[in-house]
Amino acid sequence: MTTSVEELELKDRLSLIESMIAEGRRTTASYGWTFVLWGVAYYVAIIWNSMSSFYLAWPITMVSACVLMGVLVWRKRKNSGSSPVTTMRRAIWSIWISMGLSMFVILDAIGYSGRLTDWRIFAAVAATLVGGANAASSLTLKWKLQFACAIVWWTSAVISCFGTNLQSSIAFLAANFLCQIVFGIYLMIREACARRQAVAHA
Amino acid sequence: MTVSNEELELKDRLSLIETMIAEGRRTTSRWGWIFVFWGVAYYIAIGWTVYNQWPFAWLVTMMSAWPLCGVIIWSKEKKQAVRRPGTTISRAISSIWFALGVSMVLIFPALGFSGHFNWHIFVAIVAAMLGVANGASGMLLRWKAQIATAIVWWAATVAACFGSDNQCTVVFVAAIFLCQIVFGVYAMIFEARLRRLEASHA
Repeated sequence: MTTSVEELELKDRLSLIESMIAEGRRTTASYGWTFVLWGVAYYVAIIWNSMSSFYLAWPITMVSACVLMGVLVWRKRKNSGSSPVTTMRRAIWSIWISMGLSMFVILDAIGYSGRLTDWRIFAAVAATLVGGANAASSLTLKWKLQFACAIVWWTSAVISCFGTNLQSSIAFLAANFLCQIVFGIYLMIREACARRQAVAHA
Repeated sequence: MTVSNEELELKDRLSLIETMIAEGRRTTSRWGWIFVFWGVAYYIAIGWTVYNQWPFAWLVTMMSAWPLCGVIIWSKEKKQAVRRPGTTISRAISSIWFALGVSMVLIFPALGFSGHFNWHIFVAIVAAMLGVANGASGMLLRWKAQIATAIVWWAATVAACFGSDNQCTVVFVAAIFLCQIVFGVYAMIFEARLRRLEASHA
């Protein structure tokens, strides 16, 4: 193969990777509502747990949020038709599915085994896992804003370890607000703008 | 664009994705020694802790393993004459493992220095995090062996929470053996076989 052909192939490949990254960001933006959904679910679970101390408050809220998300994703796909699965999309899905499974396994296991004696450990574990998933996703998509979310989650995890129960709760609630609700709404606005632009260009 | 052109483009894209997946597996295999390396590092830290109960055994072993791993990677990269171009999948994989590394470096010292360290919680978190990374990489590369390691790590997460201290250690040692040593050696054999095949085709 000559050098120019190789160069051309490399350029093609780079442009494909760039388009995949853009597509990955669009996909993440189109699922911005899931960030908001989970942010609200965390708030519901925290409030329910602190008001009634019901030991099943977290599992019930999380499983309900999971089912609700499944139904909404199914409806979304049914309405808009399934778009082709790209490498980038599969990468992002793999990261979030693995994180979800791990979170489900570890938090349930720690809870039901009676080893969850401290809210701070729960907050630290949850924040670390969500931070890790945001970091992996943002590095894949070269998205600084999402990486900032990862840093906020990691900071919240460290504060949870060193702070009091109140400080830990405040750090977790603040991280949830910034990285789930605010970031989720930002993604939804971005998606709506992109859709409006697509309609205008059509 | 005509239908046949679209079909051709789709076929090209699919074949590129397949190439990327194969390349991703190859890259993971090339890093197979890291699985073994960290498996051995975990064994040293466990053995050291069991032998003299020194609280900093884990910290010292991990802090020594990091620079050593870095030096080996650097010397390997230096020896490599031609640098292979990075693909979307390889970037996603490295992002996942980088995020895991940062998460671990943050959470474990934070838990340790804040006095929240508990052997069961520690093993559960390590196993859950390695479950995330192996699960995401395995799903992305469609690699059943790596998905199996993720399942073993998730099973270890649950087992670590419910058993006694000794059972927890046994579970951790077994999971390290299966998912780090055995999988690492398997990846190294896979890589060696591919290299031999390449040499015979050259």
